[in-house]
Formats: sequence, structure tokens, C-alpha cells
Amino acid sequence: MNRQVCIIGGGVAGMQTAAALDAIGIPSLLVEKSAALGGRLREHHRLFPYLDSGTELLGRLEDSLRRAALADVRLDSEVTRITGEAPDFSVELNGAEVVTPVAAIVAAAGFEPFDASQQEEYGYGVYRNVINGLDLERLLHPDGATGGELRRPSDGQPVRDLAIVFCVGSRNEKLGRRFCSRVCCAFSTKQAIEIKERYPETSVTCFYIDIRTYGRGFEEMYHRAQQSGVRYIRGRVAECGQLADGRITIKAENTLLNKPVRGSFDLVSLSQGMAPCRDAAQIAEMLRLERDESGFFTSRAAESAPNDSARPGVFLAGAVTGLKPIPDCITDGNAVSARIAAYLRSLD
Amino acid sequence: MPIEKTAATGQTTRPRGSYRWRYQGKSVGILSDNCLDITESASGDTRQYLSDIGLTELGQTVCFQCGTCSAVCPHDQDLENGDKLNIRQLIQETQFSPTRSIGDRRWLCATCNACVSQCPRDVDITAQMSGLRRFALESGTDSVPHSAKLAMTSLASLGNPFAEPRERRRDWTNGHQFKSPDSEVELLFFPGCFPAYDTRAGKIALAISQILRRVGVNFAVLGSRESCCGESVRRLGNESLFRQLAEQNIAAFREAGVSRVLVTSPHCYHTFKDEYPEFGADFEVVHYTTYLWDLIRQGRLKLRHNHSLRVTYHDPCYLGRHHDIYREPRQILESIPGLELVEMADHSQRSLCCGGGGGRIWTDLNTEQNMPARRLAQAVATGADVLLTACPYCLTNFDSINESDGDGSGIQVSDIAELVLAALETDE
Repeated sequence: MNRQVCIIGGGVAGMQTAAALDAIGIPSLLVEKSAALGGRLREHHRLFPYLDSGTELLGRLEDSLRRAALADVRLDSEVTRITGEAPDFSVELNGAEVVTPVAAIVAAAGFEPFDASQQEEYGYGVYRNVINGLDLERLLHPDGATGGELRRPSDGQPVRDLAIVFCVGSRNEKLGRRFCSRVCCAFSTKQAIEIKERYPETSVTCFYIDIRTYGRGFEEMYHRAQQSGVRYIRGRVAECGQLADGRITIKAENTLLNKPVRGSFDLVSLSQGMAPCRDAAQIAEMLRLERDESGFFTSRAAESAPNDSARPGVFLAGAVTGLKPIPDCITDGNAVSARIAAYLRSLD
Repeated sequence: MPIEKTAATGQTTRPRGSYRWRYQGKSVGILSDNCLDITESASGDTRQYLSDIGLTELGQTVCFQCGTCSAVCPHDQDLENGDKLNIRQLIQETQFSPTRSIGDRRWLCATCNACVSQCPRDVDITAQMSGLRRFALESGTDSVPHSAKLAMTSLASLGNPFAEPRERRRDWTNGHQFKSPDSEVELLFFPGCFPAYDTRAGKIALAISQILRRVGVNFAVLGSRESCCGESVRRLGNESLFRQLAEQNIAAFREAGVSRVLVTSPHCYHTFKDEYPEFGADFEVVHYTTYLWDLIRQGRLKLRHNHSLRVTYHDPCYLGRHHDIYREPRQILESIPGLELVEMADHSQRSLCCGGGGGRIWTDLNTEQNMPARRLAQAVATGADVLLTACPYCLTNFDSINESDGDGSGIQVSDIAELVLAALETDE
């Protein structure tokens, strides 16, 4: 049971995996390519659906790792080569140090936000007042450039009206991105509530195709948004334009009223979807794992063994198997630890 | 409005939703148009029919009703009067039955492809419109707008939509003599119906032929042996007439030994290039804008005459969105000295349709629905002296509304070929 496990990715799923393994007495090597743990969580000020603090959650995860004597955290590190078979893998870090033997490997490499400039009709990167969901999160963050004040990027003026465009880079054959990114409806609805509750005078309009509230507390959050005055218009935004004063025009159809919608807004936020992380292909190749048409890692059995890969000793956690909210990544970390414990025990 | 009459006659003589007609010697039909799914009540032969005309193959079943199509549809730009064609709604209806309450709206689509170019589910809405129209004609559930019916009658017997004799197809030449095809010619110039018969559009054909002659291109024209390309006929769903016209032209081209055809109209370009090969055509087709740009690039065509003009360019839907030809027309304009090109609010991929496609050019729908007027207003707003286009339909639509409006906006409507001819160097 005291063989070492290598975890690729120090985001929520990877951190929780390391902490859970430590709790049951299994040592781990947590490899994170950036200079800090936390992954994408670091970009989120408040979390859906309860508007809890992202900073606090990150602090708790970091604390649990500090207390985890068996977790060896390697920042600024990348797995560059994997040789051997379970339970005797050799893992090369940064093209130099080789750690061996490694009994099991967890792919917890996470996701990448969609680059909204690829959907040219919205003018992200061209019109200054078209931003994406993470830009909006930074605008709302007390440590952000505006000190947490919602202001137009073009001139720093307060935002009187904001539109949020859902399903950007998701559910789109033209972009070759067929999948629903799952968490963006909730993420953007959370932002709409925050803005409406902090700035009651600011109008917030969400343009959506379907609202997907599959997670616990999501539907209630959607209800809370509507109660706080957020307007939802069922209709996908076809294009954005820019007026001389920097306001952003929007073209859509209100598909419930069968009427064209034309409006202009101080600020437009694109609720961008997500995709497997940039190095997913490289990691899959090193681990000799299959991915689906969207690039997510394929489990041994999607229903009965979601955290097992097809290869013995290689496990999957977090967004590599599909986009999921934070509690599901925590659950994955715990689940994969149990799978690893069972696997290591089977070796004894 | 003729369209309402035809819709009424289509619906009143039969019990609701019950239709039978002949297809390939078999009786096919639809029992009811208010079932959950048309194929539930349809026989195997009927299902085969729906598949043959493309209605079950065009992907409308995967539409998720997001409204992108209706948001960009030129019909829906009219906020004052509301939309007469809600394309999203129409697709929802046709997911259940091609007859279901679609009525006259199926004839409104200009097949401009704005919707197709942005549909996130890749539904071929333009092709679906042709399928729906073909269904209406062949099943007898609806008939074409009256004005288009007249055009088609004329096309069937005379090969042109204007009930004009075939001999007058050379009228555009204005007395100039052009040779008939022989083994020596580089290419056949195919002016198309509007340039052949319409006085205004005829000037485009004349300009192109003059340019070719000045450059020394060895070309020929078919004259009275030329028939309408049939592009708009197929968009209107009259498949048998389209086939007849296509076969006539292919036979004429073959007899003349033609291997390369130069066209004025993006509509001829579309059907020659993408649709005639279905009937064994094996000639190359080139639109005059790409041809002229090639001549300029090769140094064969020199544009030196200075034009101090501010111009704007309207992308014809069948050149731009249907065939991705956006650069060449602009490159031609940029090579005319002194010319300043300014773009309209909607241009290139987002160009706003003139309203003439999909067979609408032969109907009164154009002007009733203000589509050319909306586009003209965008052109005027650029402050340009001239609105240029590269399609006889667009020119005809803009020109008619420009004259009839008489609002003194002062924009001139012209074709790129006319401007090129004027800019041609005149030494020697």
C-alpha cells in the first residue's frame, strides 16, 4: 500500500486526489506545470450555485495538502515521459529527473476555456466591450484591475446594461465542438446574480438556447436570478457589432415571441465553453489512452468505471473525462483514491 | 398579393391534410398533416419520395431552434413591420410535415445562405427550401406565386422568363458582331437572361464583351441557342423544367465544342459549377470577376484611367456566401486608380441580400418586402457615389428601387464590368 502514485495536474481534482490518498496512507507525487496549485479555480472569485468564495475553497485545499505528509508537490513541473507498465512505471519530470517505481498514474489535467475570438461573429478581441466569462469574473474580483467594480473596458465607465451570451464555443458543428460544456449556464447565471445584487440599477440580459440546470442547486439559482431581475431571452445571439460610443449591438431572435431582437449594451460577456486542456493529446499519447471525438479521455466503462482508464494502473479524475462543476471534481478525487487503494491492495 | 390567392386555392379543394399524387409511376400520398411525424402515416413509396427530393436528408431534424437563422435572415431585419418569414418556425413545422401550415411562406426565401453560413447545427436550410417548394409543386399542396408561374411557362417554351422570342437573345450586342463557337475560341461568353433581354442589365454583357475584345480574348457567344441556366427554376422547386433547361444547354455546349464558359451572373455560375455535373456536364465555368482579376494580374488588362470616385461594393449572395468569392471583385476595384472603396455596415460574409435570389426576381415579392431598399439605404449611408455589384439580379433590384424611390439620395448603381470598361486605358 505504500507504493507511490503520480498525479498529473494540480487543479481541484488533482489536489483532492493527493489529499485523499494521504488520508488513507498512500504517498503521491503531484505534478503541476504552473507555479501554483489550484488550476482554474484560481480564476473564480465566487462559485456557483451558492456564491461561496473561490479563494476560501482554494485555501482549504491548500491547507489539506500542507498537512498531507505523503504528498510530494512539484510545481513548475511537467511529466515528459512515461515508461514501463503498472505497477512499475518510470515517470520523467521536466526531461530530467526520473521517478521510479510509480505504481499508478492519475490523469487530472483539467480543461481549457474556449478561445472566444474563434467565433468571429461576436468580435471578441476586436470590440473592447466584448469580454468573456473569465474576464467578467476578474472584473468582479476585488483583486482585479477595477478593484471589483463593474466598469466598461473601453472607458472605465460604470456598466448600465450587460448582456451575457450563452453557448459560445459549445454545441457548434461549424467549430467542430458538438458537446455541451455543462457548467457555463450555471457559471454565467451566478455572475448575473452577483451583478444584479450588487448593482440593482444595472440591467442584465441572458441570451440562451436552453438553460441547463442539471446540478444540485442549479435550478434554484436560476430561480434566484430571475427573482433578482435578470432577464432571460431564449434565442442564440447571431452577431455583435460596435457603435461609435463603444456600445455593443446584438442581433438575435426571441424565439418564444417569434420576434427579432436588436439591442445595444455597455458590456457583452461571452459565456465561453471549455475543452480538454491543451496538452491532453500529449498526455494521452504518453499514457497510451483513447480519447473521444471531443478530446475527452475515455473511461474503461463510462457508467460502471468512470475513473478507470482502459489501461491497468492508469486512472482518470476531474474534467479530463468531461466538464464538471467543482463538487464533482472533489468527488472524482475521492473516488479515484478509492479505486487506487483497491488496485494497490490487489498487488499485495 | 398573388401569393395569398395561390395559397388559398391549394388548401380549399381537399379534405384537410389528405393529398395523393403520382411519382415515378406510383401513387404516393400523405394522409394527414397533423400527425406527430409525417413518416408515421406515409407509405414506403412516400418515404422514398421525400428522401429523393431531399426533405429527409437535409438535416432539419437536428435543428435545436436557437433562432440564429431567423436573427440573420434578411426578412427579419424589418423591425417595423415584423417578419413575414420566420425561418426557425418554418423549420420546426417541417420537422413534422412538409405540408403543415407552411402555406405561402415557403416562397419568400431568397436562398441567400445567411442562415446556412451561421447555423450551429449545420442544417442546409437553403436546400430545404428548394425541397419544400418541389414538394408543393409535385404534390399539388401549393403552387408557385403567379408571377413566377408566368416566367416558368415562358421558360418551358422559349428558354427565357420574359416571353420573348429566342432570336432577341442577341439584343444586348447592340449591333456588335460576335463569332459563334469554333475550335479556336478560348471561351464561350454566356450573358444569361437578364443581360440578354433587359436593356439595363444588357449593358453589363456589353461591357464584358468589350473588355474581352480590347484585351484580345478569342471568345464566342451562342446567341439564340442559349437557354436560361435554370438556377432560379430549381430554387423554385420545378425540377423537371430545370432538367429540361440544363439538358438543352449541355447539348448546345457540347455541340459547340465548348470547354470553358464565362458567365455574367453568379446564379449561372452556381448551377453550371455545382449542379450541371449531375447531368454529365464537363466544362469549366468562370465568373467574370475572377476572370478579369486574372487578366489584371497577368498584365493583360491595364486599368489606368483615373476615377476619383468613392464606391461601395455589394457582395451578391451566390458569389460570396455560396462560393466564397469575396476578394477578386475588391481586388479589381483596388486596381482602378483614384477609386476609393468603402464597405457597408454588412459586407462580405454578412452581406445583406438584395432579395432577388430563390426565384424571387421573377415575382413581385422583391419590392413589396423592401429588401433592396434596406440594402440601398446601407449603401447610401457610406457616402459612396456608386453602388457596385457583380450580379444582374442585384443590379436590376437596386436600379428599380433607386429610380422608383426618387428620394434624391444620388447614389448611382452600376456593375463592376461597366466601371472596368470605363477605366480601361485608351492609348493607341
